[in-house]
Amino acid sequence: MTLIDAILEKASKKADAAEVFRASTETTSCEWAADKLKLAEAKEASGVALRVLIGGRIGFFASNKIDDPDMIVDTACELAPLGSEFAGEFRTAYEPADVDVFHEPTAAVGAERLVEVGNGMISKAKRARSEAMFDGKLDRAIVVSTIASSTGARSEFRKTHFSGYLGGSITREGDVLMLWEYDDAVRMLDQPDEWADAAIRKFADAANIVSLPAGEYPCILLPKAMIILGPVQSALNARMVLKDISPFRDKVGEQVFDRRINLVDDGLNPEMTGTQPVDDEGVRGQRTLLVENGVLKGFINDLHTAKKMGVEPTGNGMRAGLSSAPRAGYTTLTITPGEKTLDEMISGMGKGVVIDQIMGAHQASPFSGDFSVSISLGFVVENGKIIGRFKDGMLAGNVFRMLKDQVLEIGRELKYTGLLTPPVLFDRMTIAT
Amino acid sequence: MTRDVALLPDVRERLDEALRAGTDAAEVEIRLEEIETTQIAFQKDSLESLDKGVSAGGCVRALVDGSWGFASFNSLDNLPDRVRQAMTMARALGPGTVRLAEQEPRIDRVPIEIRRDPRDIPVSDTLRLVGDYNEIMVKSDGIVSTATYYWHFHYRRLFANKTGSFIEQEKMRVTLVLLAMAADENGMMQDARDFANSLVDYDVILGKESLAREVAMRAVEVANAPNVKAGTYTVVVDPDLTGTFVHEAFGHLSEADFVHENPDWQKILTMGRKMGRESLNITDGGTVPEQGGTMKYDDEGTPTRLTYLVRDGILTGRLHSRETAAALGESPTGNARAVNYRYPPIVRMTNTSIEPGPHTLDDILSDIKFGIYAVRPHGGQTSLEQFTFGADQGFEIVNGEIGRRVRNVSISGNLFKTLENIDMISNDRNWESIGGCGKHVQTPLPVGTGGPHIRIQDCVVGGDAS
Repeated sequence: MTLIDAILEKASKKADAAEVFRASTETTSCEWAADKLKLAEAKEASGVALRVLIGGRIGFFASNKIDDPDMIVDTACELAPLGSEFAGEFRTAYEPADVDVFHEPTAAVGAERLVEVGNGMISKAKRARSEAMFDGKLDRAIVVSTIASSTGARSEFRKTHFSGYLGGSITREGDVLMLWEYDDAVRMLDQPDEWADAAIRKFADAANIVSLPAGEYPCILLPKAMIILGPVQSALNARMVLKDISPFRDKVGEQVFDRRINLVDDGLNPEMTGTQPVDDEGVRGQRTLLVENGVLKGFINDLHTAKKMGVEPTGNGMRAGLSSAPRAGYTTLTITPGEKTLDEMISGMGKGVVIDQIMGAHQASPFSGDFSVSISLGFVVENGKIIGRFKDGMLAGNVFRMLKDQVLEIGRELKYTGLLTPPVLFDRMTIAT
Repeated sequence: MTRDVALLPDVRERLDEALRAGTDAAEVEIRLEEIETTQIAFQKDSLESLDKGVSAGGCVRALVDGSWGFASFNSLDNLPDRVRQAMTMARALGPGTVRLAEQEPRIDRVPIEIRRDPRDIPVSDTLRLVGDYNEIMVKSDGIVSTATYYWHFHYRRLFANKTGSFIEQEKMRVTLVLLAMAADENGMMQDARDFANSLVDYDVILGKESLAREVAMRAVEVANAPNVKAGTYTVVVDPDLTGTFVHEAFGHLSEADFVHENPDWQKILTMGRKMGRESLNITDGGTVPEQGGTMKYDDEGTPTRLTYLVRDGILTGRLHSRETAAALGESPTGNARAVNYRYPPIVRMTNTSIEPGPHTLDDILSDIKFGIYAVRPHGGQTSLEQFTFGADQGFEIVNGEIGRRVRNVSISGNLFKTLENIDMISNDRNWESIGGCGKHVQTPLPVGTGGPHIRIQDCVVGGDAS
C-alpha cells in the first residue's frame, strides 16, 4: 500500500472527507559569483499535506517525516474541530486540463550542462563589459505532484521548471550600477544568452548619468517595475472580496480600468510554471477572464470562496508551500499585450522616463494601491532616444488610478516577473529626485 | 524548560561514519534539522486558517579542490551517499579558489531557556486568545476589515564537520501580528498594524487587548491622514525604524561575501574610512541576548561575537564566513547563516544596531522648523550603495513638536551621504526581532535590529507631488 493510500484509508474512517497532496522536487543548480563558478547544488525535497473535513471544518497537517501515517492522520483530525470553516466540498473526481508542463530536454539537463551554459553567459557578458562583475544562478527542477481524495479521485503530473538570473555591477566611488535579468519557465531555452544580451544593452544605455529634475513625466514601466501592481492582484482575489478589503467587491460589470486593459489569469499557458492540469485542490486548470476592456468580469476563486460567492471555482487553489493549505492564488496573471515594441514606444514618447528596476515595492500600502518606491535603474528619454540613466529617484502614485486614468500605451513584449506583463506607458508619473 | 535535542538515534556515530566518506574533501559539513510550525490567521469575521507542519531534513556541503558542492534531502538514510553526492557536485565545477579560515573544533549542546513553551499551550487556547484580539478590532468604530496572525516555529539544528565540531542548537519564536483596515476618502483600505514577539516566551502575546484597540484607532487615523508631500526633509527616525535603516542601508554592505572578490568594493570599503560623525557606532552580533539573530554558533560552527562595524564614525569591521575571512586575511565573525537545511550558509547579519548616542529626543526635535518623524518599519531594500525603507507611520514635525499624521512615508538615499547626514543620535535604544531578512533566495532569516532615535538631514522622501 502506498503512503497516500494508507493515509486516505485511515483518514476516511475518522473524517467526512480527506485529501492528500504529495509533492516531490528534485533540483540541480549552479551558482556564479564575481565572474566565477562558485557552487553546485543537488536538492531533493518531498512531503505530504493532509486536509480533512469534519463537520464542515478543515484540519490541516503537513509533514515530510513520512514514516508515520497514523501521526499525520491523527494530527489533522485533532485540529479539524478547531479549524476554519469550509463552505465547499472536496472534488470527488478530477478532470485534468489537457496541458503539458513537462519538457523532456529540460528534465535531462544536469550540472555539467548548467556549468557550460552559465559559463557561456558570464563570459559573453564579461567580454562586452570587462569592467563589470557578474553573478548568476541557473536552477533546473523536476516536480512530481499527486493529489488524491478519499472518494478515489487521483491525479498525478510532472512539471519541469527552469529559472535563474544574471546580475552585473560596475562599482565606482559614488556610483554603483547594478542590473539583473531573470526568468522563470517550464522550458530551458536560450534564456541565459538573452540575459547576457539584455545586460550588455542596458549597460550601454546606462553609460551616461543624466540629471532629472523632480516632476511629472510620461513613464514606461518595464515588466520588473510592474510588480508594484501587487494591490491589483490582491483586489481581484475572491478572498479579499469576501473580507471587504477589495475595492472591487461590488464592481463586477463596471468599468474599473482603461478600456485597453485586459487581465487574464492564464492557467493554460504551457510555458509558465504556474500552469497545472489540476490546481492544488484538484480543480481543472483554466483561463479566467478578470478584466475585459477595462470592465471587471470576476475574481480568482478556490473551492471555499467559490461556494461562498456562488460561482464556479476557477482552478486557483494554490499552496504557498507544502505547509500551507490551498488558498486562492494566481497561476499566471497576464496583461494582454498591445501592438508596439518597446523601441517603438520609446521613439514615440518624446521626453520621458523608462523604469526598469525598482526597490521597495513591498513597503507600499498593500491594499490602497498607494506606493512610493525607489528607482534603482531608470533611463531618461529625449527626442525618442534613451540618453542615459538618472540616479536616486523615487516614483510615487496609486496603481488603481494609473490603470484607470494614466494608461497611454501597452507594449508587445511579454515578460514574467510575478505577473506576465508587457511594458506599459503611463502618463504624468510623479518622480522625486 | 528544555527538551531532548536528539534528531535520530546514534546520531553521533552516523555522522562520524558519513564524514569519513569525505576523505578527499578539504571540508565537509553536515546539518540536520527539524522545524515545527503552527500558523493561525483570522480575517474579519472568521478563522481563515490553522496550519500545522513539520519539516525535517538535512544537508551536506563539501569543499573539493577549492569548489563547493551541496546536497539537501529529507530522508536521513544513507548519509555517506549524501556526502559523496555533494562531492560529485563540487567536482562538476572543476578546481576553484575557495579557501577556509582555520577553525577550532567545538563540541557543544546549546539548549535555549524557554520561559513558556508555545508547544505546551493547547491550540484551542491560542485560537481563543487570537480570535478575541481580532474581534476587538472588528468591533471598533470605522474598521472595515482586519487580519490577525499568530505563528510560532521551533527548530532543532545539529551541525558536524570534518574539522571535528559537533554542535546542537535550538531556536524558537512566537509572533502575533494585529492589522486593522479602514477606508480612506476614495474608499480604499488603509491599514495600521502592530505586533508582539519573543524568542523565549509564549506569554509575550498575552494581554494585548489594549494594543488591539489602539491598532484599530490608528487605522482610522491613517485613513483620514493626507499623503506626505514628496521632497527633501530633516527626518527623525524612531528606534525601531533606525534598526531597519541600519540593517538595510549599512548592514548588507558590511557582508564580506560581495567584497572579498571585488577589488572595486574593497577600495571603497577600506578599513579606517570615515563613514559618519564621531557619535556614530554600528555593531552586529549573535551574542546579543534573546533577539532574532541570537545564536551561540553560526551554521559553520564558528562562535558568534560582537563586531564593531563602525566605531567613532570610522569603518572598523565587516561580517565574515570562513571563506570570506580567509580571502581577506581577517577572522571569521560567526555570520555564516542558512535559513534552513535546504540552503548552504552565506554571510548574513545577526543582530545589528546603531549604538545609543548623547542626545534626548527633545534635543533632536527642538530646532526642526519643519520635518518628518518616521516611526516603525514597513519594509526596506538595498542595492548596496542605494537603499530604501518604508515607515509604518509618519508625522510632520513643526517647530520642534510632533504634529499631524501623514501617510505613505518612504525614504531612499545614498548610503554614504545619508550616514554622513546623521547629525544627532539619542540615548535610548530599542531592540526588535519581528523582521525576516531576505538575501538571494534565502528568506525569511530571523534577525534582530536595534537602535536609538536618529536625525538625518537632507533626506529624500517620496510621495505626492508638492
